[in-house]
Amino acid sequence: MRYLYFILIFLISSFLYLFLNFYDNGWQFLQPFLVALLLIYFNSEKEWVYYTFALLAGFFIDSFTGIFGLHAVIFVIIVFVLKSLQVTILSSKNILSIILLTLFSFVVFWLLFWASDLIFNWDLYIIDNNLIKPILKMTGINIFLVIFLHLIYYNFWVKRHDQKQSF
Amino acid sequence: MLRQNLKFFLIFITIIALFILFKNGQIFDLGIIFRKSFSPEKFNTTLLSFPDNLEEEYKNLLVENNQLKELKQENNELRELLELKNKKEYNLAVVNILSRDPLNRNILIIDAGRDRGIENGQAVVVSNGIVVGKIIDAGIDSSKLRLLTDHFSKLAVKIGDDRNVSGILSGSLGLVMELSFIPQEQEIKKGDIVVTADIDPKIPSGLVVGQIENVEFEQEELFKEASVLPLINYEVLFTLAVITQS
Repeated sequence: MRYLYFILIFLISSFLYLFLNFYDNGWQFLQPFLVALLLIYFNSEKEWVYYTFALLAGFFIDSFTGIFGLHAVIFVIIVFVLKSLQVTILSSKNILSIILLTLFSFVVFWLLFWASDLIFNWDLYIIDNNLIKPILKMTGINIFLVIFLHLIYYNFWVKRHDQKQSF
Repeated sequence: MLRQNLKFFLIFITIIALFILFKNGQIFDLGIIFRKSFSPEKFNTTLLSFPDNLEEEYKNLLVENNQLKELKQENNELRELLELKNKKEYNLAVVNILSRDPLNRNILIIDAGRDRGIENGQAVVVSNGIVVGKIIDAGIDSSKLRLLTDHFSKLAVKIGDDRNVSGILSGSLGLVMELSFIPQEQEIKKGDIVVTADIDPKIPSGLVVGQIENVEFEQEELFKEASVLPLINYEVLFTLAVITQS
């Protein structure tokens, strides 16, 4: 049943990704796949699940963009960094860890894009002064979405069914 | 735990790298394998093979395309000349420009001469009936014509709506034409059309020459002067016609 939910989340993210990319006024910077990846990461204990989700989500976006494999690599790196942090310094189970990890994951996401743009001149996302504002705005919305959806899930599902959180 | 995470990370990075290499066809082209397995061999050879003489064909088509464009332009000009001939009842000898005089670019050499009824002093027009010059040296099968912008060119013209103002048009520096000997009391203004006068028996009257650009007028002078702009660009003349009989 849980995997069915994951597939459903993937489909919703795909729909939202394609839908949001029709708009050119900053909404394309909303990253439904990254939000979904973080939600799955926070609520799954099996590594192969969120790594596979990162791979598939990355390849899905890459099939619409110019550089095949870039999003997939970045998503897998984000998962690796989050997991490494979780098993070393941020191992507590409170909501602060989730907020910090979410914040950190988005910083890593844009940092990697900026670095790839700087090194290879790929121009996948044009990161200039005019677009910094919508990127920051959408990053804020992304972080809020992750935390909000996770809180809803935690309070209305995990508590009710008396389950333990993934960490 | 950390080691297991690293193991997963490396496995998935390897998978991504393999996908990228497969997609770019650097290990082997997945697309060709699919095509071979799903379509007959002959389709592959006919559809996927690159034509050998593509570049040569492209060059030939480019040449042909340019020739067709020139033919189209020539055809349009000849049609207009034919209409002019029918409308005004002139005898026209359609001629091509062979070359320009290397010393004076306002003298053109055309491919028709006395064999086609061309004589010195006849008017040369373009497709829409605008006078561009006069024949100055009619040979047996080729002639020289002097454009109106040439310094030595002289042509009697009339100006104004009722065409009662006369003057002499001469070339100036090969670019514009100067209108002189216009009596002081006659009124001319910028934008007036200049047409040929009926003084010269070899040049029909009423053929358009140009448009007045600027009028110069001084109290102590007997005559007014004006500069006249040609209505067409004399540098890109293509097909011409000599009015042999009016």
